Amino acid sequence: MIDYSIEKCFLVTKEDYVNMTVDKNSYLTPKENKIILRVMGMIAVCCGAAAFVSIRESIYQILCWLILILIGFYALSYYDVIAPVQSEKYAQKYYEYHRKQLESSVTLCVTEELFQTHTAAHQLCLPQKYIYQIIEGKHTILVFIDKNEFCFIPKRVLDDESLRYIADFAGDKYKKL
Amino acid sequence: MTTDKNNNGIAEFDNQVKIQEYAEAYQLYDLMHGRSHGREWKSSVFFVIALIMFFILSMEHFNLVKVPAATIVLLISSYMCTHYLYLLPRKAKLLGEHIYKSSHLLSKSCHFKIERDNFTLKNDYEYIKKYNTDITDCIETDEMFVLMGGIDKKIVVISKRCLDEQQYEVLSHHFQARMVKQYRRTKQLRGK
Repeated sequence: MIDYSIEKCFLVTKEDYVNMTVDKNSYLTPKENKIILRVMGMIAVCCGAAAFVSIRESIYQILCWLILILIGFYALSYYDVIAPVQSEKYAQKYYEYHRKQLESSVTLCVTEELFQTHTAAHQLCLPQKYIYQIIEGKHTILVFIDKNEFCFIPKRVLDDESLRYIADFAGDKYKKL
Repeated sequence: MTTDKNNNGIAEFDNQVKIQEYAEAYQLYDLMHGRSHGREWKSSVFFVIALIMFFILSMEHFNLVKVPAATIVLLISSYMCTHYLYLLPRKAKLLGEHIYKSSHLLSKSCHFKIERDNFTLKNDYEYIKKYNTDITDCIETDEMFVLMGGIDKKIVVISKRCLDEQQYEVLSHHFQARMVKQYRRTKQLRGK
């Protein structure tokens, strides 16, 4: 393990909060759900396309096949495009509504043994063994205390060395999205 | 355990939550803000659809082959009705148990300090301060107080096991008086 600790102080901005929400939702969505929806989407697109080419007895039928293809594309792109956009919109509204509480200054300290965060309303000092999982998302690091509760670090405040240090700190609890 | 009424202090006590209590609290949270929210009307919609399909089937003398779509919709609607009414709340309770098992902090004893406008909880690893205005729901059941809300959407459970008679009354009165809109007293859950 590298012999130093991380000490950072940052302000949670709207962009950080939105990025965190997208990463969190992406992590919390079960993989099976994503696979099932993509497979169903693929089936709908294929069946719709096949029917569109072969069965064209009336305008209503053509319309039905087109709708089936559209539903298929919707299902295919849901978790990659639609869900992140929905999460972003929701997070932006939530942040605006709770700006006073969310726009807080966070002090972060990670040493060889401890993970510590400090805000006005919440102080956490956890040994590595008490951390459930650390997830590296696209823009944020999510530190899960249990299956449900977590705190986050925006990647913008961490350099490559700090990221490696956190990965070393987490050990086998570190996971990339 | 002490009860201090000076300096805005309402009560001070140590609290330790059991897995069953947390699971029930999580089930309550799920009923109010989670996937089980609005389960009554959702299951009613599917029940009505199932009734209509049943009516259509009866018109065809229950010849299932003649109206396969109605049969399939009837089966799906019946399942969804059961899903919302019974399966989802049970699933939420199981998830609550999983969350409790995955956490090293939830099972630890916490020192609570309830004041007029806020409360704090503290253990060896965590310190949380929440204001009454952060709380979206304060639910009192026979076994516990469940405080929900705040930006972290954390569920705070105060077990009545850990309170003496006087503290329980003081707390109940305090929550009723200070969280007028958020406070609710519930009976036992149906899905339990």
